[in-house]
Amino acid sequence: MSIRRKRKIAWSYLFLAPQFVLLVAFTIYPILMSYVYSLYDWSGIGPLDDFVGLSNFRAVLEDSSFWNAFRNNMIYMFFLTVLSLPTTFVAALILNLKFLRGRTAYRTLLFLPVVTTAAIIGIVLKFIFGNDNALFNNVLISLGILKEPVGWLADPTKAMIVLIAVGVWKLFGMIMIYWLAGLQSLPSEVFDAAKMDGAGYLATVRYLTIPLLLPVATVILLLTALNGMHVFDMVTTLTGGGPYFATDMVDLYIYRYVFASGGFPQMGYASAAGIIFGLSIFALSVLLGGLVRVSGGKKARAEAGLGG
Amino acid sequence: MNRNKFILLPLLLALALTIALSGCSGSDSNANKNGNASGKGEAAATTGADSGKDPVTLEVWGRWEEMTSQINETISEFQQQYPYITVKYATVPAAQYVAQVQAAISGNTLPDLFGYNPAISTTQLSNLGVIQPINDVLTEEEKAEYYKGTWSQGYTVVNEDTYAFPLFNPMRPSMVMYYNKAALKEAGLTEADIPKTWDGLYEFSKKVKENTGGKIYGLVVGIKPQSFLSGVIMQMATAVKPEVSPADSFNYKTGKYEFNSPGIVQGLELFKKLQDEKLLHPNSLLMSYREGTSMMEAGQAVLTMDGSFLGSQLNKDKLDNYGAAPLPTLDGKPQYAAFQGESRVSLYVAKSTKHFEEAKLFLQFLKEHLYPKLVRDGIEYSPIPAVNEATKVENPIAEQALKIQSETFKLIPRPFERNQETLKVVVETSGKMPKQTLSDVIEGYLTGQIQDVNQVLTQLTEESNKVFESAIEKVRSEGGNVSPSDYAFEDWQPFTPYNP
Repeated sequence: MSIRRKRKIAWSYLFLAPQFVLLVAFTIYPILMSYVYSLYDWSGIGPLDDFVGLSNFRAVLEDSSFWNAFRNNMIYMFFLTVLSLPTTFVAALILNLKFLRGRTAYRTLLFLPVVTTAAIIGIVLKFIFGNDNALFNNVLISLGILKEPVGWLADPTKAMIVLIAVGVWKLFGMIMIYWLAGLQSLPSEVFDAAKMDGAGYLATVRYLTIPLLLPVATVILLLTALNGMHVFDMVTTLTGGGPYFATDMVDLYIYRYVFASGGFPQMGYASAAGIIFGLSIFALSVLLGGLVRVSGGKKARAEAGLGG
Repeated sequence: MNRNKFILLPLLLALALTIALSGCSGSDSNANKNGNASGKGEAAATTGADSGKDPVTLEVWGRWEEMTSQINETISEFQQQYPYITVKYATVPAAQYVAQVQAAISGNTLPDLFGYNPAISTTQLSNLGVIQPINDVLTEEEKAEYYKGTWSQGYTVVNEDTYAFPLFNPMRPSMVMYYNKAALKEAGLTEADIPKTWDGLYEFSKKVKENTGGKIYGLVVGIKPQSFLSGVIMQMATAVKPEVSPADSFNYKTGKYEFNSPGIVQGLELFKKLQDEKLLHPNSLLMSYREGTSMMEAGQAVLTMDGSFLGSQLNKDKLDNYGAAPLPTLDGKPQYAAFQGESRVSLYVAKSTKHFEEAKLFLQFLKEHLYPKLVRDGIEYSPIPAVNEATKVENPIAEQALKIQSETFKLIPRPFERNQETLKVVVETSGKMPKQTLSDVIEGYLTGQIQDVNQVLTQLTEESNKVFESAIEKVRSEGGNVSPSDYAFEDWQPFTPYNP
């Protein structure tokens, strides 16, 4: 290796070093220590001297409130993914049309919710979806769709629907951009050839675009699903996990044990809950990551078929 | 390459300048945000060096927004009297207070003085060694001026040492009903119609809604965090089963928790009835307590129920439009709020303070100068009866609310007076009680998610007693001499101050 190359590599590591130190200090170290804390009955203050083994894990797994929050997370993640992926794909297809004017403006508008703080969205929407004299109800009443105000956030099912809808709206722009990036990376010769063969737009989408986008789609699926597992800020401000834990999420459940325990925090218990949740997310990532690998093979076959 | 340098150099200079400027402006803007009077103090502090004493800055954390104005006024006076001392007072939002204190304890960055919070007992803080005794702030004669029960184990005192300095009257806050006179008039009713019973409240709410065509509701109470509806129901419930304390639903006759007491169940059923018949303002289910009281102030509901402190927070230009009354009870029978010697609004001195003498001076100054201001402005009665009698409350609604409060509070049995080891149980249960609280059950019941409220409250009672009994067992296993009988006071007569 030449000296110049060695020097380049050294500078690279030097520039990486601060980020690496922060990563270790604020991510890796806390994760490792949470495994230690989970074995103790500890408030977060004072010495670690009350070893309880796996009791915290047992207590979490036996707590129906934890499973309620976990179930809510799964419901939210599922519907977020199922609703976001096809709608953002269609939006990306439309915004990728060369003849569409103002594409940049539309993309910007759709991306705006992504860069808006989730906590602020929650606070504002709490008033829009309120009961009496709230904007959403007033609009529906004036349109004749409702006769009287509906408690959107005071009903467990409706509150979850509102949360999912807001989550889809917030994430829409981001997923659409992923699709757009994927669409724009596809080889144009394939589509030119299909056009010359007389293939229509819908046929092109069905037999070319979708198969070629499969690897991208599985990555987007993975990212969207993981995004759906972390929704603390919006839930806290929009519903507070209510009504009566109907929209409680695992993040909020853990937060309650650390910062809203009604006394000294239960750091050990919260760490155990965090580990169980983290392992669940890891299992999900592995499962969806497997789909990514499998779909990579399908793409190769699709491309081979086109060449033949 | 040269062109890159021309771009890079100015950028780096701009970045360095920005960092330098933001560092210079930091402390001043923080002080102004917290609304403290440190500005004058800093000017005075520079002359402190002239008076021969080194300038001292005291950092104080409080969590009582309602007294911000009065304490800042007192701090200004203090800094004029002691020019070398600057006091930086910060009001920490209640929702993040415990987390902030916890982080400060872990990081050894507690301020010189900080406020009490029920979630972190004085005993816990003393055991951790983070607070120091303030025995010589007040003489024994001065301590005798305070309300009986102020100097109680586990709250202001641990063993023989005093740790907490009370700021407010310890017998607070009681729950009070407030009404909007203009809304009352618009509903065709008068102050004589303000309900005293639960049936009366129901009929009143019906009349208001009918007479105003649904424009105004009879009652609004925000139930989202933070909410005081659980406190309201527990206080009203004492008229049905007074053995169950309205502070924590603990039955001091049997020595066990009793969330499923008939008074609480019936109180919940009352609110459910109001909700189901659309007599409770629908936004009650979405709002916090303060948002709810704002709706009463705006005339969208005639009645609201809140703590006695609301009186001092109402719009001062419209005080003539409001009134205060006791909460209605099942059949108009008396109710009470429980006092156990807990001074919920008090200050500690951190052991890490480097300015203990100045902290003591500040506390002594608060006694002479803050207490009368709190009473004058109707924020709260002071912890000294003589000051309350000598000072006129200038806010008529606050005066009404404070009068109701002083008639409501009763001294109830205190296990720690019988056996100090019970304080170890308090430490052991801290943070371990069921996370589903009475407030959560209220929300679930009013939204229809809980069908059988008695069953859920029974489960809450069982879970709470399980934690309580486990804590007693743990303390005993560690050599503590405590038993469930320490919590049962068969000779107690509710409504009569308990003095064994």
